[in-house]
Amino acid sequence: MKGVAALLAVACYEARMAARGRGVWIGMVPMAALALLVGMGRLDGAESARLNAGAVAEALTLVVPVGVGVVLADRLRRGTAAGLGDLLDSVPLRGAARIGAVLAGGLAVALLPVLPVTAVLGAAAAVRTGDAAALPWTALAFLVVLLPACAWITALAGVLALVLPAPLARAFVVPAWFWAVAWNPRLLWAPTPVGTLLVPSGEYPAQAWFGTTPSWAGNGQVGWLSPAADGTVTGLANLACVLLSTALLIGGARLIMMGKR
Amino acid sequence: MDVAITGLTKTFGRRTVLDAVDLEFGAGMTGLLGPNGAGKTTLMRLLAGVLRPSSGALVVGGHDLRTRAGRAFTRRVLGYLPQHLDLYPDLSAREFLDYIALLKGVDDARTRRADVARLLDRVGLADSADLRLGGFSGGMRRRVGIAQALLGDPRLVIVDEPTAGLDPEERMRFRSLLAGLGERCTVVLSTHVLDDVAQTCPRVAVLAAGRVVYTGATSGLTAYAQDRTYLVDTDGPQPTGAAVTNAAATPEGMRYRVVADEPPPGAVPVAATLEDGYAALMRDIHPT
Ligand SMILES: Nc1ncnc2c1ncn2[C@@H]1O[C@H](COP(=O)(O)OP(=O)(O)OP(=O)(O)O)[C@@H](O)[C@H]1O
Ligand SMILES: [Mg+2]
Repeated sequence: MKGVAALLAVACYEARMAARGRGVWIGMVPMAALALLVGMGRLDGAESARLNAGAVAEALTLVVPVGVGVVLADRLRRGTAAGLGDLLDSVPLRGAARIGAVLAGGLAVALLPVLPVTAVLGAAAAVRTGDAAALPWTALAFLVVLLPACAWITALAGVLALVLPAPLARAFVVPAWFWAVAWNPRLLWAPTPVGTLLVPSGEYPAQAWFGTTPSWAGNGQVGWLSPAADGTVTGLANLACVLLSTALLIGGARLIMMGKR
Repeated sequence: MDVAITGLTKTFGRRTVLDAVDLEFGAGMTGLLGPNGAGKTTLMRLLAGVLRPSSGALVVGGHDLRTRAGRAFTRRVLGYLPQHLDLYPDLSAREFLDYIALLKGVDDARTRRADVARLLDRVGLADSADLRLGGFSGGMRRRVGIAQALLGDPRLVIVDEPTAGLDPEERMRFRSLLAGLGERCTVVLSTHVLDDVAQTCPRVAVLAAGRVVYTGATSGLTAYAQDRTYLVDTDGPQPTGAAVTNAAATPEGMRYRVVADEPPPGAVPVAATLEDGYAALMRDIHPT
């Protein structure tokens, strides 16, 4: 319990640092504006509050994580600066748990501008469908569709910036995200998680709990990894895969940091 | 907290940076001296558990650093100041210290707050405590680094060139700060400022090219130059066959302070200092 409280405090300090840097705001405020436009575009076809929440979250998940990854790419790299990396490695609270807390703190700040946008979209959906449940549905969709995707890209961006110069890592995040969620191997073949349970796009959870129609899920390159989206089981399986690969990325970051000594 | 180092070797690729080092540090302060590239920082990083030895053993308070438990133990008792420490520019000094205290396992917020305030005061930063570190001068940053090393009541303090960039007053303040740690704490301090060692460290170890070339009492190192230290006044060239530790212009010409086996012509013997002892030792290792 003590460890959890300490990790929470670490995340708070990391959030404070992220919030004090201009980079996060310069990147995420325009991204939130774009998210508002994209989300509003999805409201038109709203049949039910639930379906609408899922569709909006899926649309946001195409664009928002790109901004999150770009602005947060330097979070882990900062802790490897001269001497600081040694110091951070010589204390009891260290390793993958600390890395996770560092990323979580940054992520919380990066998503701050997106929260009011989500609230506005939820309210707009409530007005349009005449169903107040649109608000909690939107909040739930934020949690199970958008948030895991953002956690995944934050970890990936953090790893990229450990092996590439930060500006290059930021630039690389953009194609990496589209490779992960929207690559069409039939147009140009490449191994991609698109269509499999590994995909971080939120398609499976959106189908499972919001009833959206998936566009790729089930059509991945590896048959046994690409079940058709079919309710709670595939939704949970996909969430587990995304969280697991996020954890693996964090573990990888830890190894890269150790290897740098 | 006793530290025993035996047969410690560290290689980076093909390069042997520490070569079969045997050393012991007991309670109190030990100075670590040696030329640039001698391996002081590498030794300290190994002690801090940041690097793993290529071979040999490090034992801290009876715990072997080759084991996971030994490293975990060391981290709990350690205060460590790396040679070059970049601080988070977006935090204030107080926040940075609180953050490090948190990572060091000082879980109680009130204890942390008191500890941080006390150390900020001890390093003379109480007035700047709430300013962002990004705006701190080099010496102020160094003092924050010193303060963080002393957080959480460490039993083993490893400070790598702590006084680099400190002004004379701060250097004096630092000495009294370390003296206040008392005998229950083991302090290993690397420096190029021999005066720091002369003033604060009863014991000293000297590394050269990855090997221990002296370990023992600081007075013993000074004694190396005893009866071999001279002042030479001359208007001619610098004395040859001697290690010149100082040179100053005088109205009559130049006054050289030298360490030599045979007194140069016109030399006046003087009492040796630690600097002379160090120069004598280096001269014996690399006779010119
Ligand atoms: N990570 C590393 N990879 C390769 N070589 C290294 C590494 N770290 C140190 N070295 C080499 O090891 C030698 C000793 O370095 P170290 O930093 O320990 O010396 P030092 O005694 O602290 O020197 P200084 O007084 O200049 O701080 C140097 O030649 C250095 O180039
Ligand atoms: Mg050094």
